[in-house]
Amino acid sequence: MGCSHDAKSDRARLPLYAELHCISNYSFLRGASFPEELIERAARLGYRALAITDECSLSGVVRAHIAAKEHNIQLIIGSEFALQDGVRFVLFATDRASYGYLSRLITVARRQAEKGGYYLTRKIVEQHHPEGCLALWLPEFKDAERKQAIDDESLQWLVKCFPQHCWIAVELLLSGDDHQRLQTLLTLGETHHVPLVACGDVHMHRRNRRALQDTLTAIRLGKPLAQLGYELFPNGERCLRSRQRLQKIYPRLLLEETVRIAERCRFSLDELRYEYPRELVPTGHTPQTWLRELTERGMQRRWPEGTPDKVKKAVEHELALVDEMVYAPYFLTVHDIVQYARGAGILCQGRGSAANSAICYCLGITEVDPDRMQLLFERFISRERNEPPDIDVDFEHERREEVIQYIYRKYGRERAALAATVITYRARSAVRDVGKAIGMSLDQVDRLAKSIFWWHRVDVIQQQLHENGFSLHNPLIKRLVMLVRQILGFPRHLSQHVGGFVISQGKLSHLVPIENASMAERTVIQWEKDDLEALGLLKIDILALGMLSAIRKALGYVSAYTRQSITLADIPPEDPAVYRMIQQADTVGVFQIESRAQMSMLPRLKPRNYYDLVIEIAIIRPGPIQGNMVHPYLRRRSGEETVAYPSEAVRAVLSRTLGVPIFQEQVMQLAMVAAGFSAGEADQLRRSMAAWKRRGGLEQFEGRLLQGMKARGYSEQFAQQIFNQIKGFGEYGFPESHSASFALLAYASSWLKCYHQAAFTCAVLNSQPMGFYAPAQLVADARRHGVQVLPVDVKVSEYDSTLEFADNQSLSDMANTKPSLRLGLRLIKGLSSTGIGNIIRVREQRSFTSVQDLATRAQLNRKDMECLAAANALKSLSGDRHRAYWQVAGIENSIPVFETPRFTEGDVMLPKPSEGQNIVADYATTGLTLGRHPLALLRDRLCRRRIRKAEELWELNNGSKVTTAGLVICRQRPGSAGNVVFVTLEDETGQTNVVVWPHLAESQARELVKARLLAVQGKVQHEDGVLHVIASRLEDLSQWLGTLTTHSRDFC
Amino acid sequence: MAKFPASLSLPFPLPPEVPQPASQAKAEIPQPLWLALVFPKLALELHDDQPCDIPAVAVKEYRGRSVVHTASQLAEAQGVSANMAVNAAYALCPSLKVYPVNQQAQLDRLHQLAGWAEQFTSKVNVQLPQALLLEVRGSLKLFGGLSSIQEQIWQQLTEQWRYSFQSAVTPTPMASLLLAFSGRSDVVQSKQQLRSVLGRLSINNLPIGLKKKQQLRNTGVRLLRDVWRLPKDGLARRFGPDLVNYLDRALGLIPDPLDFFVSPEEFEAFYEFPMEVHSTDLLLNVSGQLLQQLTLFLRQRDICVNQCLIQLYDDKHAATDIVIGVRQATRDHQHLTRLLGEHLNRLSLEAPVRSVRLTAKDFVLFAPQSFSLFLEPTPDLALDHQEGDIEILLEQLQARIGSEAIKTLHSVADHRPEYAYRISEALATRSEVIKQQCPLWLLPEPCLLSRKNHQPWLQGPVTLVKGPERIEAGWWSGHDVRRDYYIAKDNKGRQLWLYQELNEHCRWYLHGLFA
Repeated sequence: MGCSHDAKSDRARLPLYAELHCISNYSFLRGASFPEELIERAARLGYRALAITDECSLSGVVRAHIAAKEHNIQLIIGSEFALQDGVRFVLFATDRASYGYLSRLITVARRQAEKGGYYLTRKIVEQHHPEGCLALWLPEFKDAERKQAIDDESLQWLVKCFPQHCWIAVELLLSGDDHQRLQTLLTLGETHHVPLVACGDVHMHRRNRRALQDTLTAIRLGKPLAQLGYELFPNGERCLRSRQRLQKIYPRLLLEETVRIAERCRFSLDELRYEYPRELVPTGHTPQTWLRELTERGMQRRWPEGTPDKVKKAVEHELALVDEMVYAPYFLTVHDIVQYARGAGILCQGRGSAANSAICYCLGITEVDPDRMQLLFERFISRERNEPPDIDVDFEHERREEVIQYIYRKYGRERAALAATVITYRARSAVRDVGKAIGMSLDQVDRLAKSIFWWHRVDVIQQQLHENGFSLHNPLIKRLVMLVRQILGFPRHLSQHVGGFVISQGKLSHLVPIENASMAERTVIQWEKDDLEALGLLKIDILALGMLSAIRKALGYVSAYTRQSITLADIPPEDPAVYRMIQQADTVGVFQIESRAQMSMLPRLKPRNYYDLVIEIAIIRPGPIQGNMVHPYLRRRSGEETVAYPSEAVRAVLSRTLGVPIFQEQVMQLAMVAAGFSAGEADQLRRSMAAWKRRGGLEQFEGRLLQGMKARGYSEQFAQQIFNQIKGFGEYGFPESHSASFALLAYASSWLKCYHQAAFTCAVLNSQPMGFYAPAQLVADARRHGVQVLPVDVKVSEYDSTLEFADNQSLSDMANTKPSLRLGLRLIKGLSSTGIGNIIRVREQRSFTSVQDLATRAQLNRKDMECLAAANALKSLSGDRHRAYWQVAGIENSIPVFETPRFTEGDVMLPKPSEGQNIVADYATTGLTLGRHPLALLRDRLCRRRIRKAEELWELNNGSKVTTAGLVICRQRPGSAGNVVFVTLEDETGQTNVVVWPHLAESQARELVKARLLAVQGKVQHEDGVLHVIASRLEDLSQWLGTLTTHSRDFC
Repeated sequence: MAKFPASLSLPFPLPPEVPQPASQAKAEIPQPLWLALVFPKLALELHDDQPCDIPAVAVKEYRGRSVVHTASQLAEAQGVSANMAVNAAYALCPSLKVYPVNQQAQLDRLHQLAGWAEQFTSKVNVQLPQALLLEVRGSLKLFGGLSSIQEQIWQQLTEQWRYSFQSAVTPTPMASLLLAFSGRSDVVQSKQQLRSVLGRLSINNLPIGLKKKQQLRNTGVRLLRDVWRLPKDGLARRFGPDLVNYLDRALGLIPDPLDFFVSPEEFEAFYEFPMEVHSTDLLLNVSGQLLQQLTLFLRQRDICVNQCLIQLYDDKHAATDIVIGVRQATRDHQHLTRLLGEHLNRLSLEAPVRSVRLTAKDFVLFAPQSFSLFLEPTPDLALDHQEGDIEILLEQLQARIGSEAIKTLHSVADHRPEYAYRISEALATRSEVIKQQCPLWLLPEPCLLSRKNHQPWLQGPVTLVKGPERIEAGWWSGHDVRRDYYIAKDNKGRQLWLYQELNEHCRWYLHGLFA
């Protein structure tokens, strides 16, 4: 069309432009667009370049960098600053060196302030002068009345700081006196010989983000919009404006100057070269030779009788690849950390693609035996992708901090820091903040936010609001919905990643700014895990795993009473008794395969060996469940369905999982062998899979996958099926390399449970909080397995739970008798650890004679004493709970000079606690009871309502209608199961699994969320030894629990 | 079996067995009889606008959270109860109507009720925040016995006041209160029965802190009966002497003197003219004297008033009310008289006046005006007075031309010119300077301009002098403004303030004129 042609040629005649002052939403609660949006828009408008100049931050630049490459536009790296005295300016990096200085300046400013803030003065800028950076002075028109009045003293300072590198920013934003402003600045520039340049103070990529920008301002200032007045921008000019408009507003010279600046900023993030720490290599070795040396030493340790050829070959193959990619220092770094942990007796285990390599097995990073694993992990590093290897190391959760401190000690805070996690707006936080900003009352906002249940997705917010009585026609609600949609996913602040460490040879702050985390003594870099990956920087995940703590403790207990040291490596592999136990889903407390979904699958899958466990762990995940992979796999495993492979290549990929893709690696491999993807493309596919639910973007692969497979002779049906499975995988696909490591721990913990139940339960109790089950369930499970459990007793219990042996036992037969489990003082809710320490210390001198004696000598405060009384831990001193409370209440507060209490009181006429009162108090204070189950006491009442016991359900036919009830011990909504909620009920005979479909979950949300004692009407469904009740009606019977404590209503 | 050590003191000993005197002796010193009235939903029911078909709650702040203080019956039926978080209450009934607890209003209402109750006995005691105690022994004869007096009270409460109430009668004030609070309408005539009647009550009803109640419950104590069994010294040591003392008062073991309600003072002065009065001068003269009486009354009590009421009566019509209000509480009768004069000047009497009544209530303590230390002594005092004078002038003006006629201009921080100032009736503090560069003279409504050659036209061509100033604001209030403002000149040399709409119409408007 002629018109557009004209426009095009017009555009060619327009002056070139580069926007130099633009903040993204990584200037938290200021910028109203993502860096990607800004880049894309700038490219579309034909800008020559775009500078992302977030305030004292480089957090958004990696995303911008990727987008800039995609859209073929130059990205300028810069940052905006405001000094303490109010001077504002922007700095740009021109080359690698100046980028390093800029990053250092940001680090200095950030490290001197509280988390989230920065502190910068002229002196600091002079001291840490960012050599080579260009500066852009942002004039401040302080007095609104006389806008000409301007303080040029700060300009003079900046010019002195950056001679020949300084510009005056001219930002004409239709304020009414743009002309005067321009004149003022022109004069100023002439006086001080500083060139002027046009910029836009950009806060958003399009004008239509104006409402969102105003809202962000309101959130930042903590005031509703209506009260902000002049604190809001007067108009929406702070967006990327078209070049036509800019031409009308600015003198041509000023526009052209932008491009001259852009040309001087030649730095690209691609130039960042990462250097691994070098100190780990002894003199005389290169990293590669040292890695070979260590690997060979490890090989000898692992196979003293000689390494199998298969392994030897694998090691050689891997070493060659590592050499080629120069990754040896990475393996050495991980090895060093693991060495330290081993030396300190901290149990750890690596996982991830590279972790399950033969090298890592030899280095002791993982225990996944390559000989046992049929070497599945050949492609742990991709040549093409040039992506650093991935090793996550799990450490005992209670001792991970020691490892982190070791890393800081060894490399220093200059060289090691945690990766950041950007905390973003989720539905609830968005509704809350936006609601407040648009002036809803706190009550309304809370009500709104609460009405959005945690299991609801973004797209049903509107529906949710409607159902909660908020009219969608109400303009307020309309605005709310519109803004909430826009703000979702917006970054709010930086937090620390759970354990992603970056370690470098030189100063890390020259690579990326470092800032303070909220935890004292922690620092984080301004980039996320994905940013690091995108730039190919090394990252080691130092993670915390509760089960490792539990296993270490359990091994310790067992070693002590069997009087032989047992380590993880000593656990005999492939013990049939252990697998028998697993097949019966008798797995309360063990690693990974303890969740209810896992438990319901165990009797069907019947794992018989280690690799079955690897599959079990990976298959009961949202991904495979949504991708409909579970049932085909089960049918094929039981032989009900035959397995056919469309080609040999596909067989090679899928045969180990009977033709069903279960692991993330298999999907990538499939894309490669069946659709002809390159390794790099396959990896892109993996990333898109992770994000498509949130952002979409999988469509581009659909065509290529289907065509590629068609071209290679696969049927359309097969191709479509594979694509659907990939889609189903979504972000939940689980890698085999992780599953393999997890399976080891699942087996080890199962072995401990199978042979040393008391020690195992004791260890899990002492590693709380961890795992899926609460102490009550763990203890109940131990008792079901014949372990005698003894109550908390202030005269006997230690801090932790302990194993007790009968007094008359000699050490020698301890190994053959079953220990009892004595519950520890740490199980008592609210009891302070100082209090526990005092009790144990004082008790060693002399046993307690009375409650007053205990309180006085252990110097316990009233709260601690009340906690002890509540937990019935004073029974041996005072008699029942009521008497314990009475005595605790009567304790003299003053510490007597002599240890004897000043007077004695006689016995009092207090009612004896009933069984119900005791049980409920037990639950309330230690979370478990050694008495009867509360439901046993209500059984008569339950029977009158025809409510069945858990064990009775098994006698019913499939499909029978039934009512059952129990304490709600777990509610789960697996992301995979499409809003289905799983509830576990417990009564005196066992547990019942209840399935609540979404419509019921929503219509009876109150019962579902609030009930502690829940009655469920529904249908029994059992197959393959798994029983569910499909709920059709829920009833909250929680008030019945209240009646257990007679007439009081205090149980909560 | 629990052993009783020798040291065990007998808990709550019964009153010593006094030999019973003859029955007529008893009649001479009659035991008092206390009727307790508890209004459990007063916090809510004092809101007269509360609709009866919507569940409602009164809400208090507790540790930074809003929690339910009182729930209406409808709300209770849906599961809402006291001390529940408001959000939880909302979750239970979404249509909930919420009122804040207003302690002052509750106190006022209770005083009104006390005033009403004085008709039954002179001994009325107010128990904050929601109960009254009436000593009715002395009124039994007059009202025809206890059940009759109860009936009358209940009837009036139901018909006149319509508040929910609970009541009980016992010989001690605390026992009556306790029973009434528990929702028990017992009538206990003799102290000897109190122990067994109260023993059935739950300790939840005791007026002690939640923490102490929990401690009591922890020891297994549920009912007052359980408390009777505990040694007094042990109880006092654990739960404080106040609890023991309170229980003794309830059982009548120790005396429990109470203060009685006294109706608040009101000032009232009345003057009846010997003849019909037509002249406002005379009215002013007489009223002035009444006002002087008022000043005297105020001086004696060291208080002052915010407003007083003058009522003029004639033979036929209802009283004409004149409210004299001042901005700052005063007891200056000259000022009041001046204000009254202004009112009377505007008044046209429909009929001759026969009498004048002056009433005043709601007094505030007199706070003499303090002068700044450095402005003393006299010469500079004038400065201080100026401000006061302006206020007096404003009041006089307001009284003369009517309060609606005086308005104040406030500036408001808003980018939208028409919202950048606000006119209010209240005589507020000095307004800030208007920040925006806009003319003071804004048109009441922007005026649409015609266009010629895409240029605005106002009885001739218009030249744009300065601009644009773009204003885009107000979307959040439903009044979204998107305009480009210009300063312009028309051919008569007037400076105009124009804007062009930023929408598809691009229409021009005249919004103001520069002086």
